Amino acid sequence: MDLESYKKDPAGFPMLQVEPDLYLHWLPVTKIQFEYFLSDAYDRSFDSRWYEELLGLNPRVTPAKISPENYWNAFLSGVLPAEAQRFAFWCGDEYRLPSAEEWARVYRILNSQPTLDLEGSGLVDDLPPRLRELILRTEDAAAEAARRLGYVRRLADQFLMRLGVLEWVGDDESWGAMGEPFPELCGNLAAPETGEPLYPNRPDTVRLPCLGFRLVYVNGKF
Amino acid sequence: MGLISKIKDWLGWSKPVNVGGSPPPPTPSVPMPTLEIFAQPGHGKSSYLWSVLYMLRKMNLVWPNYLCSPRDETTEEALDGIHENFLAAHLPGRGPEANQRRYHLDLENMVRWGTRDLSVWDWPDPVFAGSLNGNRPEKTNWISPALWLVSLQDLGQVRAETLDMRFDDLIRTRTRQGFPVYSRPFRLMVVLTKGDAIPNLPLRLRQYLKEDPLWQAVRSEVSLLSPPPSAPAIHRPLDEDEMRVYVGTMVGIHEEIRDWLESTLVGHMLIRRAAANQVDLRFAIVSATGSGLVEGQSLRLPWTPRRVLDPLFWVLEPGSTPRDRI
Repeated sequence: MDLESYKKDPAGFPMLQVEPDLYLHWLPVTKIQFEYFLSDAYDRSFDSRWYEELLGLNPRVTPAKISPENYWNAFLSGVLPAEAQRFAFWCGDEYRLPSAEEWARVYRILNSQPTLDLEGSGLVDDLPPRLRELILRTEDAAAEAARRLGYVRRLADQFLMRLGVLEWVGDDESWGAMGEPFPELCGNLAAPETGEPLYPNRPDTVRLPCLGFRLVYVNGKF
Repeated sequence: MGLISKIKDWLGWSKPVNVGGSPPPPTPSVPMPTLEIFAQPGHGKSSYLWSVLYMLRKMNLVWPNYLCSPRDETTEEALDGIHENFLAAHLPGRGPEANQRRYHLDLENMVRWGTRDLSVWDWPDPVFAGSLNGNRPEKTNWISPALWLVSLQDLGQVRAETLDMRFDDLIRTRTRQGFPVYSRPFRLMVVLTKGDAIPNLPLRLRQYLKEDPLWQAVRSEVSLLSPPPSAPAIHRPLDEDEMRVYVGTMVGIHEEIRDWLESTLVGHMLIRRAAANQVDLRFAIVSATGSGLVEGQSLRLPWTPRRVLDPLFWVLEPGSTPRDRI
């Protein structure tokens, strides 16, 4: 694993190299990130009514107002797996949702690593100011929220694989969810450390306010 | 005093345990008086009872000689319905009219507790129900241990600050019904329900809910019509020693919850009021559904009950019922 190496997705958000050919989004996909896609999308299903429905489930927050009480509002949630796939398609051929096995494997890797000093690591150095603020404020807020709950943070926690949102994993055959949402976002006893996904009922039609996603970038292959 | 000795002393037992060997001979069923459950409306009583009954049916996965049987037709029908609703991720109907039932079960050859007869009502209780909506045909049992289900989330910020006064309501009702506190000490288990949804729950308690070995056993069950598992089931029987450890952990969790509550003013007052009224308070935490993701009358994630049998285990412990004390 080379945490020194990272790339940006088409919206400019960082993805870290977690295995030789695999990059993972630093955070679950944010609303700001998804809005780049929305401004490009010609698909009528992503209209303002659709977005308002999602914002009704998990309201928007501006980077300047992110706090330990609301940082999960920064992430896009309530999205269906097919919609997350559309975002991945927009990002490019090498992007897709992780499989449950990939997600669990990366979680184990990152959970064995200490946290990063974000500003010292160079991860946010060349990001536009608004993105930089979003990432740094989310980090500060999530670190404080985790401290209050008594969690000892590892690198996986900085990625918000815990105390973030549930994240879609899998493929058209079987959609599952990994991660551990912040309890105030939705009551849950998800345990990502077990490596076992949750299987929401009716994943293709029911929107869950705590269910978002992140993508992997697979180097040189789909 | 060592931890084990402290636990033994606290539980009031030190009987040597027969580990392994042949199955125990059938023991006569010990009738347990009706288990009383008090709860404010909306605090999860019906869901809790559904999850208890579901788990009780499945405990043969960890107690190989155990059997759970309905003692009447009504209970049998109810168990069938609960199993169907569990699989369909349906929740109990709302309101007292939807859930007026009495469940009566025979629990045979439980490890540690032997054979018992369990009777419990899902019915409006005389303390917290807005209306009793018709009297149930059996009086409230104020002598044996009782459960008080409390959903901190549903109390909300303001009413949570008066939790000790709800306790007073319970004690006053008991006294009005002829059971003054000084004549009969009362053992009350405060069961924090919807534990998954308590945002500031101490980490150890959250982990305790996550790591429920009984639920792990149940979720690995192979059903008659499901495809064969790709890997062997991970559960294994729990013998006397392991059940002793399980109960020891419950004691630790009771203390953790008590300390956590006592660190707040209202929790401190609750514990003080209990002591002043000779009420032996115990604490447990459960999550009947495993998540708070609900859409109408359905769960959006499957049922995953956690630690729901702990309160029943407390009640089954020696010294809990008048019969045991004789």
